[in-house]
Amino acid sequence: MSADFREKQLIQRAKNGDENSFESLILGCQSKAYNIALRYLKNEEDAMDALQESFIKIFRHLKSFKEDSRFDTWVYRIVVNTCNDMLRKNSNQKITDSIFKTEDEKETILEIPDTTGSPEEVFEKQEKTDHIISCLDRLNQEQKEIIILRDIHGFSYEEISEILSCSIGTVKSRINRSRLKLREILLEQN
Amino acid sequence: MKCNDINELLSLYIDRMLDESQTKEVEEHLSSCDSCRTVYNELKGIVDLLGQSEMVPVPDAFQARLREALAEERKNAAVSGVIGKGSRKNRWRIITSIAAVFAVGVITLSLYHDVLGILPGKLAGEEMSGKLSVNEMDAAPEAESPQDAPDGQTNDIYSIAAAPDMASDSSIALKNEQENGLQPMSKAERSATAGTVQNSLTGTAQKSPAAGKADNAVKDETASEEMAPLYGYGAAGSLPESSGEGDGSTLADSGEPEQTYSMKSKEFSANDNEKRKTAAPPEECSRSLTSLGTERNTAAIQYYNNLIEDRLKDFDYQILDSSYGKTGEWRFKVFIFRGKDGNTYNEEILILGKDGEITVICSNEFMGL
Repeated sequence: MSADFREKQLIQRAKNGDENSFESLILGCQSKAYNIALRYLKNEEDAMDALQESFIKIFRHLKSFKEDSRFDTWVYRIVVNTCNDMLRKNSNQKITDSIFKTEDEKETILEIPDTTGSPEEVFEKQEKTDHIISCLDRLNQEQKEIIILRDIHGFSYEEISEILSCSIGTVKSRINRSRLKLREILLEQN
Repeated sequence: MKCNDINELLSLYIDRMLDESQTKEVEEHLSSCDSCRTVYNELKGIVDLLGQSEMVPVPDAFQARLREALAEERKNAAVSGVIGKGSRKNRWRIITSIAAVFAVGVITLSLYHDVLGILPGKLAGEEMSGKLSVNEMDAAPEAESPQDAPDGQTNDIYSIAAAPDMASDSSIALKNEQENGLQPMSKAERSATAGTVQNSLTGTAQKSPAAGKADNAVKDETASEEMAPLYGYGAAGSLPESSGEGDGSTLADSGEPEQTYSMKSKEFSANDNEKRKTAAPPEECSRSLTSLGTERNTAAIQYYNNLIEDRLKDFDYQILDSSYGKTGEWRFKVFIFRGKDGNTYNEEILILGKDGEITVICSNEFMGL
């Protein structure tokens, strides 16, 4: 039985009110959805709120889900929209503390990372990653979200176009501009 | 291809999104252009680092939160499934409709009873006389439902309570009546009005002592319906006879006067009530003040008009004027054109109405009054 067929069966059962099928469906994309929310909102509590709200929306509107698109992409789309709504609501109210490292830890990262695995190198690599992620906040929201989706979570161009409801051409140009902008930011810091 | 064009394609090259020819072009350019190659290496470094970022596990607390929220959502969905969106709208429609009907009903009742005293005197009087007419013509059936009693009782109390106040001129009710241009009803009229109601109250097994006495006085059972005013009169008779002098005794004070009133009313009922049942309605009485439009159409005047009409049925006459005296009697000026003997008199006489009876004051003994 293929994964797609199994997923369709679960969706059908969940649409008919089967609670276990619904929980199985969302469990499959829960971790990725939470991490997307965490990158957007930079706060565990807010990320859990966004995830819960997203899953409630999914539960409410599951019957309107058209099965010509993938279920997980639909879920991430809802999560992204919920996060953007929360960011808009909180934009003038709340300054969240980043769970990532601050800009104090500046260092040159623009070297092609080697793939060796000594503990020091792994630690150094992790520090660099965290620094880049912290620099995402200096991008605008459009640029930031496309970096999160493409480079952190590895969604394909097609998936991103579905999640963000835009064309592939837009995704292509937006990814390129965002990366070049992030490079500029990192260079400025050096 | 220039460096700017290559920069536009670098991300797609990193993501392997270019076709073969574009890939070849980019690779050729990167091999020959140091600056573009640097840019490519930097971008590739960023992308690789971001791709290696660790996934944060979902907090354990989340599962419990989510289950709770989903359970709540299922409960709400079940409730809304039963009620339905359309039904909610309908429910509001039903509630507002009921509220509107209730409001209209309250306003109508208020106007009917003229609780606010906003109706013109004519209208209010007509309403009262209408009641009297109904009471007189259609005595309340004995098996009248008890639900009607409280309403009737209210009217009863209102009428009785107003009677002593008429004499003392201190009642707010009286003032209201006067302000509305209404002549206050005499005690008899009010009791007559109340009588039917009282009859309905006491008609089964709850007759008041006064009503009971009056009832015994009339042996003919068929007369009991006609005795409707009698019961009321008995109840009203519990008011002191001297109410005209301003004695505001209560119902508990009923004693001797009660019998007096009962006997009077018996007399009045036995003799007159039957006739009044067949009497023409006031609108048809060409000689009444009602038809002239000169009177204030109160229940009292209506009632005395009927009595006068009975008394002067063989006369050719015209009621000229009515007034209410401080001593509690109604004074009717009546012009007699021709007597029952056929003689022309063209004289004015005075008829006093008090306690449900009329007294003719006439100096001409030939008239036969």
